[in-house]
Amino acid sequence: MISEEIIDLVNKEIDGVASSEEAARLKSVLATDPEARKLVGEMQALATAMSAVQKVQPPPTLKPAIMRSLEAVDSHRVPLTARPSILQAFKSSFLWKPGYAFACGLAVGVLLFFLTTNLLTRQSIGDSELSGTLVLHGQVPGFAPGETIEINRDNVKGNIETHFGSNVCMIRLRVEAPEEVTVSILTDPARVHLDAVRPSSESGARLTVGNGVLTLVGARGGAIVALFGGNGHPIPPAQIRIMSTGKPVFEGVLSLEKGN
Amino acid sequence: MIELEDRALVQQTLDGNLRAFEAIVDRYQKPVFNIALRMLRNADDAEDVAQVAFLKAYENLRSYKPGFKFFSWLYRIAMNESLNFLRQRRPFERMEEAREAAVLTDEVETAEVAQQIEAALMRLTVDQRAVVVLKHFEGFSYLEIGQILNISEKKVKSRLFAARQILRGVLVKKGFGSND
Repeated sequence: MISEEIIDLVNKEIDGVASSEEAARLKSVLATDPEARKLVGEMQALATAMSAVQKVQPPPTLKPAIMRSLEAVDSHRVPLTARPSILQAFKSSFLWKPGYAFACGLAVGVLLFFLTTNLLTRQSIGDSELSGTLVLHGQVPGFAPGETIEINRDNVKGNIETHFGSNVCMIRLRVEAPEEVTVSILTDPARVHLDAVRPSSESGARLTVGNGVLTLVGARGGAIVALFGGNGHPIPPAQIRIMSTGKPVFEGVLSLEKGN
Repeated sequence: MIELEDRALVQQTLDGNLRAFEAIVDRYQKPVFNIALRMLRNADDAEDVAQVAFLKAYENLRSYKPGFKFFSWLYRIAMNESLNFLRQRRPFERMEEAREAAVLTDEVETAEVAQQIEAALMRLTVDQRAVVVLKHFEGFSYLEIGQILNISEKKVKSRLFAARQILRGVLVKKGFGSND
């Protein structure tokens, strides 16, 4: 078993950043440890193999495409240096319009109060609030979009969007399919609260939610919204599977923590 | 010298000279494209990401601080765009891995070792891959990689060492580097 210290020394040696003391230490280890010698040999072979990967010339279409997009941007604006920054614009306004400064300060104060009170009180979502899920999307302060995953396979199209708020993650799922699809979402019931709504127009679809599992059977389109409250804990990833005519059209693990 | 030239080109661009930015594109399109290519393993996607990276650099040129190396700033944009691209398509990554690998190896590279490395890179997490690409293919120091990825030098080392262990394991299985 090679120690962490030796692995560290080998990596430093490969990168050419080992000090003279570290190099001497490694040399003495290599003299007596065949396993460490093997590691060095393999690491050196890896570094050599890496250097065999040549840089690729970019396609000739890249530069013209970049320049076209820059010219398109330029045609819609004034020169870069001619634009005052937002801060400069505010400063120049405040110099001779103190009324604006007062009104702006008041508005910021009200906004901060609203944000602070909402963020402090909404640490998790209880059952009674779940009927208001769709409303929450528009009203929870700091609710920011996460990632969007496009679904396009076997005539099934749609997307999955995540939105993050304070200790909350919302998944919005849109699916368009010629045949009925089955959606299942699995998560850890000990750490999250899971619930969902579906559009009333999807009367044929059966939605069941319980024990960390959500299933929607018989849907042909529309959207569902699943809401996760972390109950004070980090929200763990959820597994999502969408099936159509017995075949999976989407399988994935969705990170439900902002910034992951 | 290059840094001084870069700063001059940036200033000329800010003064409204688009040709100065064209010189920046000439200078950096190859490394930016290659960063995206190593991260994404798809030439078409890499071209798209490189184009977006240059466009974002141009649009945000006022926020570039001359105390920072320009190419590090540009590579940071390119790497962030690559990571964003990967995160958006992550659930599909494994399914499409084999197809993309075939495209890249058929069209771009033929050397067997390079192919094995390219394939092995896809075994890494995107964060590990980013560090390996910047270290081995672009030759950045731990400090510069940390600046580009906005992580500590310590984290750069730990990701790099972990990545190498994985790559070593993959390549040894395929018969590379075994001296004994």
